[in-house]
Amino acid sequence: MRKAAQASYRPPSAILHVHTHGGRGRPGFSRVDLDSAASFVPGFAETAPRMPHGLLVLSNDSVHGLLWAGPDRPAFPINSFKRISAPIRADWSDK
Amino acid sequence: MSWLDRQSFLGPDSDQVLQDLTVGLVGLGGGNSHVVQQLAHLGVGGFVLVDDDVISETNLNRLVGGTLEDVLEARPKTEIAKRVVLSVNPEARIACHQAKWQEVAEHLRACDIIIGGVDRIIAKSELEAFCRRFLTPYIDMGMDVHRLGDADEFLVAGQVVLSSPSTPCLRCLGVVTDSALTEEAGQYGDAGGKPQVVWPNGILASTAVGLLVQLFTPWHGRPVRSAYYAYDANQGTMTVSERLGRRASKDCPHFPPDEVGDPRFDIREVVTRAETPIERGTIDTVPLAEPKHRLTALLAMVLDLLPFKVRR
Ligand SMILES: [Zn+2]
Repeated sequence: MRKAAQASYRPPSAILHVHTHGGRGRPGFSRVDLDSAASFVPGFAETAPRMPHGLLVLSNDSVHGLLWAGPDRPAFPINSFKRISAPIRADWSDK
Repeated sequence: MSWLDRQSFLGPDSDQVLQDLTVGLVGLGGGNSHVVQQLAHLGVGGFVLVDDDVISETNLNRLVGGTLEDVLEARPKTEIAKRVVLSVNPEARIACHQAKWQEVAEHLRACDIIIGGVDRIIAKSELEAFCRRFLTPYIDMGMDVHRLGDADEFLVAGQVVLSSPSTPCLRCLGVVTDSALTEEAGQYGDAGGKPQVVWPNGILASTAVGLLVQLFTPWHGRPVRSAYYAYDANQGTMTVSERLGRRASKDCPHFPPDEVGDPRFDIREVVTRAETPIERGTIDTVPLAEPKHRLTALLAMVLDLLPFKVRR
């Protein structure tokens, strides 16, 4: 975590804690995930205040994410992911 | 029944994928006038059209969709392209920018792919650098007429390059070189009369569109992220350049993976902007950037270090 925070300092980068729940379909965050975010996001926001920080959770074929725009702001879901590969696929979670 | 039924082999959801796509076209002269027409027929839903120029008489030999009346009216090339698209697909989302692309770069960030129809090598190089920064695949088209010796004989040739993040770039592939840039800088001012004709543009444009289609709605199992086709109009051949094979396994040293995103990005400014009420009519690209998407649009670089990217 400290290494990630240092790496995000220059150039400014967002820090996303990534983990997988496996399985298929759009994954969700557990209570534990959200509680741990509450403990590390404010620290990241202090280190790199110009960037949002948050959480990503992967399944075997999908992804879900939350970002915090600041330490005292509510999280908002990432509404679209795009896989820059071949083929390029966009996943619109709000569609 | 849908107007796209005959291309359903592009995949069961291909209509939707193409409809959701937003393509940026920079430079709407000869090459991209063909591209925009084909993309409209394909059912591509979103267009960001950028060109600062109006049509002139000497464009009529190659600008598909342009008319004599457009010349008399000095119509912007973006407006001609828009008309071509709407005449096929009235539902298309189109943002027209009669400007240099650098002035409207913000609007190009939301594009899924950018196709460059720019002549100057410096322009290709700058546009590719922009695309790399925002993890946007870039397709470059170029055409040249070379005099063969002293005779009145010419070689008509060109190339199409697909340059995706972390694949060989135009410099790796020798399309952009220091010597070409220096030579071009020396010619500045008299570059206006470069020979250009319609039929090679059509072939290069069709090749570019094929690359786009295989990237988003592939019709075979081996879509590519990187391509370099060399066209020889004298031989009548379009060949895969050997140079691509030699570079394919090497890292591109010109665009390091950490040089991505907007270096001036500041989430605090985004929050302030998002919380400021928007006056009606102040956003000229509403179809491409609906208010609910504005916040994430400005976060496009957030996931740059992962093989994912936030869109809009
Ligand atoms: Zn390179």
